[in-house]
Amino acid sequence: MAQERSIQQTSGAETQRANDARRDREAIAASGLPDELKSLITDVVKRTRLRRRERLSVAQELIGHFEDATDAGVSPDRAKKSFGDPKLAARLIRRAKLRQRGMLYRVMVVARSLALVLLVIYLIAAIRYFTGKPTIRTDYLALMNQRITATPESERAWPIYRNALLKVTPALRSDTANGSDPANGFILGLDSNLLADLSDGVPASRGQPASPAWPAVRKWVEMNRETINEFAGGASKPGLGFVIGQGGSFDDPEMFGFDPKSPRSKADRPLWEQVLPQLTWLRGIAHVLRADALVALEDGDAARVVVRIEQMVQLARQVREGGFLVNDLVGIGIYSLAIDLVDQSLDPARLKAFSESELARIAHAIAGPQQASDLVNLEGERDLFMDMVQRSFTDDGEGDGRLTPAAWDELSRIRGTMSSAMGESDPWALNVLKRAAGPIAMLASPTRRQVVSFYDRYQQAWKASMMSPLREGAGASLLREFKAERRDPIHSTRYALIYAISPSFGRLQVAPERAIAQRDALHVVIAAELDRRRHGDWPATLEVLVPGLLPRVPVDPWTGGPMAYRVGEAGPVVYSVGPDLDDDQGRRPVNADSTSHLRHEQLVMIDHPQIDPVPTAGAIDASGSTSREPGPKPDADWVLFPAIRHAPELTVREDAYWQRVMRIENRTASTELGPGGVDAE
Amino acid sequence: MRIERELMRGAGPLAVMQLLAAGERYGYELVQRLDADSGGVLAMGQSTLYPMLYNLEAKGLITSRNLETSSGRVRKYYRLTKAGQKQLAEDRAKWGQLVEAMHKLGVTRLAGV
Repeated sequence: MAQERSIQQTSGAETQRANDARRDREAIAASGLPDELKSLITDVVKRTRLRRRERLSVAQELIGHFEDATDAGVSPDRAKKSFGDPKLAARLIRRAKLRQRGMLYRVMVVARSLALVLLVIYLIAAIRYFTGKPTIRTDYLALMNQRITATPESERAWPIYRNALLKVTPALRSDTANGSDPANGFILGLDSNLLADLSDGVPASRGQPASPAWPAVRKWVEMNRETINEFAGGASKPGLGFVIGQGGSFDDPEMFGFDPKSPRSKADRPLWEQVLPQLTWLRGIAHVLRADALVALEDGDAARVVVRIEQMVQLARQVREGGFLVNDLVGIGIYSLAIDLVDQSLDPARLKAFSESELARIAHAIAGPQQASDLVNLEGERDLFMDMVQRSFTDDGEGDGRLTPAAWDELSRIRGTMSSAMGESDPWALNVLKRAAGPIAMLASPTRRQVVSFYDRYQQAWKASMMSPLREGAGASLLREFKAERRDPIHSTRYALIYAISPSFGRLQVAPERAIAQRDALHVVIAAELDRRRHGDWPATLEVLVPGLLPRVPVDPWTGGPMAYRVGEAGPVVYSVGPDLDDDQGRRPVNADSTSHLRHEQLVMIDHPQIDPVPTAGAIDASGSTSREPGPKPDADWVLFPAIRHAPELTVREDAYWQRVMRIENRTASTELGPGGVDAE
Repeated sequence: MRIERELMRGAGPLAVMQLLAAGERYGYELVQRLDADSGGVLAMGQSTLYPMLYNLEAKGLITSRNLETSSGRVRKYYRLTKAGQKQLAEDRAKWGQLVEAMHKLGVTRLAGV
């Protein structure tokens, strides 16, 4: 027994240090063992492929073993024979020693293996990713231009607008007004101060005084009659004709400036960028026409008011020409602006200025749209998306493919256009990191077919929804599915890129329905006025107007039943019973103010949660003034006529799809079209 | 008679732990005792003894320390840990049950007489 022998115990640390100081081979060589045993120990130790310290420990133990055997009188040959197979010994010793290594070692082994597997996967993915090349098979630009150039050149409004805008005194153009160089490549619009005045300026009506901006607006209108008439001439044309691409309408340095930092032609810009620049100008023109109509209204020039209403509605149609979502939103905004103008024209104090035929013309001008889809033309939107897809994915010829480095280039083009304009650029290292992340993104992101399928399902769901009123819920279940998918973190991560470039259609449903409901109310008022002129009194019910003056009683957007109507002290009141579905005799909600329309939209969210803009859920009004949190349903009605007078302002909504545009335009004209859709209230 | 490898795989660690129950022993000593005390039946290839000791050590059943002999040599001595003592008690009981079961089945030499 160890204790019985007169041996001296060394401290563990001391022994360890001694061990560390010597290599196993030195220890074996220093032993007094015969060469054949030394050779055996060396062979076993070497075969174990253990760490230096472990090998030394094994060597020392085996040296001791054979020294003990020698001391016992065993011959080297017999000791060697008794030891057994050195290969087997080495293998078993290695296995046993590895088991002794502890948890950290095991974790590291697993981690190393995992890292190796991941590295192999990454390398394979990297080869696939970096060798992937997109194939441009479809000329979407030509497809889009086909629709745009369907209108003969002589019937196009843009050339007229362009000439008129170029003649507008430089002080009214925001480039010079802001002191910026028109050659800086920014897309500019009417001077923001002018636009603010045009938006805010309203004459006295319904017992309220004119707004403070009104005198300035009136003066401006009187001084710019020639320009206004030119705009009006354009707004009488059937089509817009804003041609995209090389030699197109945006490829126009005189009009849109030239970016010295980007010597490419503007026609080389991403398609989405080429379909937007005219919008800020067209919005400005809509405001100019409206301002002129308001001046005419104050002056009692009913004929000019009617013409301007017709022109504004036509301008709204022109804007929708390309079939792009933003264009649609601006078109809806301009249509709403026209509706607002009609509302002001039907002020009892002004109404008498309009002849029966003029009232009928107004009614006809704003007639037409019956559902959201009538004010929405998304034809070009899919082309825009598909163009990005074909520039970002490979194409196997059967509609499928994988993400390529070109996808980053596409995104960079989007960002880069802004970055270069704004003097931003990513650090070199970050760019390298982004490139290196490409293969991982390729593995994680859906394939080309999945991307297109997702987009098509999404757009189809919205189209189905827009084909009927919200209350009927067509497409609601599909949209709820999208919303649920969006909440799934794995899905939202995989489709992150798609969400980043997919538009939000929610606004396209709500804003048109609101405008149509208001338009229906105006039709009721015009019919009631015509009836009053014939019979002396306001009609008691709407049924008496059908079918002579109204084809049918308009529908309450909340109930689907007849729109509510009563005669108040100042004339007819036309209203929807609102989300509480209870007729409160046209009582407005408490605190009803200029945001009442937005309140209506919030109320829509209560009953139609699918409207929450998918996929960019969580979009909010940039102003922050309108929370998307729905409040309780008010015990009140949604009064459609008379509307509360308020300045038609732009409501800019933040939206991932538009942020890229927003960044450019915010810098130049804060009141111009924001990339979140525009709504003239 | 040498025990088959498969049988030895189960019996070997038990035999080693049994020898260590009496106190600390070093490798060659264990080799000798296994051979001598079992009448050569449990004599195992020395190449397998050390891996077996390392495995028992990895399981925490035995522990080792280096001791310097009077001649100045360093030897590694093994002894049972508390866990090893417990394991040994359990294995001995199981082994007893196994032998008893074998007796009942007539596997033992006595039964064949």
